[in-house]
Amino acid sequence: MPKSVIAPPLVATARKAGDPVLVVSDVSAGYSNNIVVRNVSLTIRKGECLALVGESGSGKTTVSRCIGGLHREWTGGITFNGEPLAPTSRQRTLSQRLGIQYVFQNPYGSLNPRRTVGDSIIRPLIIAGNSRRDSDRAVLEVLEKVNLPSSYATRFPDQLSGGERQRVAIARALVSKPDVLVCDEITSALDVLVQAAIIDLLGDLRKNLGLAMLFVTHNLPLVRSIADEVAVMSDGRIVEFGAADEVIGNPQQEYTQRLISATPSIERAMR
Amino acid sequence: MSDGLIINNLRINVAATGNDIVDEVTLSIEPGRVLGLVGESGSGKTTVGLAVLGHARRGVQIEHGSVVCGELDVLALDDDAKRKMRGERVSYVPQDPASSLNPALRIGLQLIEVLEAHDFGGSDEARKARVKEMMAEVLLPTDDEYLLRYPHQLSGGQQQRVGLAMAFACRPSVIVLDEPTTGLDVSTQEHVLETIRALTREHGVAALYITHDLAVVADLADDVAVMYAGRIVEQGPVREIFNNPAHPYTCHLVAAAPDIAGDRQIVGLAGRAPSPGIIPRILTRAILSPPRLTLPAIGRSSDWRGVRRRQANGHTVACLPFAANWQLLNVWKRFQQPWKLVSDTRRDASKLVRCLRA
Repeated sequence: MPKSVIAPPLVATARKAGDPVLVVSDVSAGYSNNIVVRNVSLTIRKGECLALVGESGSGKTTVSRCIGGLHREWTGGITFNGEPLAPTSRQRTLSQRLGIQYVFQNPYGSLNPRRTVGDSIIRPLIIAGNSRRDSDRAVLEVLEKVNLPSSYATRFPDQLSGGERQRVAIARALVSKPDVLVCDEITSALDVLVQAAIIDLLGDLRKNLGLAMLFVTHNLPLVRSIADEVAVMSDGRIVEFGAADEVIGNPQQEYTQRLISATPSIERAMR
Repeated sequence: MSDGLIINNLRINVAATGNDIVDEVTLSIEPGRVLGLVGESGSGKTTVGLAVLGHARRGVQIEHGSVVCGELDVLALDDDAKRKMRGERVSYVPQDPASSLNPALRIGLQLIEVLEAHDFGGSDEARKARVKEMMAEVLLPTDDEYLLRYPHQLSGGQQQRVGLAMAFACRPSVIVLDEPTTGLDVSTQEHVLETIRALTREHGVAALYITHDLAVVADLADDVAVMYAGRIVEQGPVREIFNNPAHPYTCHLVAAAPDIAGDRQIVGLAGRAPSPGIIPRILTRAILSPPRLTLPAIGRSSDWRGVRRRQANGHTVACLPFAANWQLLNVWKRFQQPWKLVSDTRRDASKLVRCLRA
């Protein structure tokens, strides 16, 4: 099916069959009187990655914060595995909290500097009431999944590079065996070589674990490498939605076209 | 009036230990041209950029080499002469426009200050006229009301343009731009890049553009120099470098850069870039023990294996010891776990080959 371009509010529904894990319907959100997200609807299915792109101030991070239960002031509905979600994570059930995991932009700020990598990763399990021994085993498993050696469990964050820290943050998210991973600009603090390695890792995880992913970024070129589908946000609304290749290769909306033509490209410059 | 910039055999080290941060850096930029200096964080790009202004960060010293801008031997100048040179002959545009402008001063006053500091223009009227001229050149409003604004009343893109206006104010012959568009949205970045391109061409300014964004370099620069571990491993005209990357590190960088046009898969490398101090030890080691690992033909391996420093078309690649031992260096720096490294490097390399062939 070709990319759907409907007058706003645009409904971003996945093309491919697959169980919808997360359905965002008609969500509006803001900060006191200032509305920054207007009538956003999206569906993320098992094993699929949806990229949410836009310039700063477009509302993309606010949408992901609503999904993660980190933002209080929103209306509309979000269902997770068919169950409606409460606005904040505090009001959600344990399985809902474990099932949606959030990875933050800054790997330098998102790990507790006084905890070892192993302790940071184990936290969600201990909070969820697992035994220490089972949890220890789980830590080693997730470290392997993110391609870090088990010896890293005893290291502190300041002994790791930015890319390694981001791997630890991903491992911490994976340890609760989530269905959805929300990645908010997780590669923007990293160098290109490290960024490509992280993107590679996310692709593997998606394939092997059937994770659904919401990838929030302002980096349009990256979208093709990671996402099946892309929703372009501007001024709090989704202005274009479709398969990543379609939207990037053949954008229909003027806003998306402008964004793409403003993005420098090696291929274009070398032509 | 300008004669470009020539850097010759620059070596910068940590004063306390003597470990090099930058070594054997030689490059030249002709007036009106932009050279993109690319590499990962920690590769020494900014250190080179600051050396062009005759500056080394605390604890760091310029051991030897020369930086020549026109008839001016920058590194031989005393402090007063350097201060006079900065902003007048060689100017600098830092990464974060918000923190590089004085938040307590109106932008008009900040621009005038630069001109006053360098006795530019002779009279207040002439300086005011010059400020308006600069504002117009960076496509900002020139009315008095706008000049009375404070930096926080401007958007990020506007702040960066004020930074550019300030850098170009005294008509310098060399300008160092250190990631000036990082953090800006693409449409804002597009305008800033256009401004940089126009100003350098029109005024014959030699520009050193420091960035890790290869796409920006492809778009803006005339030449590229790729830095790795404090060395320039490859340099040449933009088209030459992007179409025929010869050094394996350059191949990796190009392969890792996502591109909006083209659907090629990106390929990464795990780990971190080498930090200063660890380089000499590894290098010695690498030279003493020839690498047993061989990357199976990255791009066209025969091209870089036997290369000398010079190649055709103004394209230069690091000489054999560095290029050949690059793999070993990479093994050490990226994984610090030799056993794991072998398989990972092989895997990465075969992916890279597939992607470059596609």
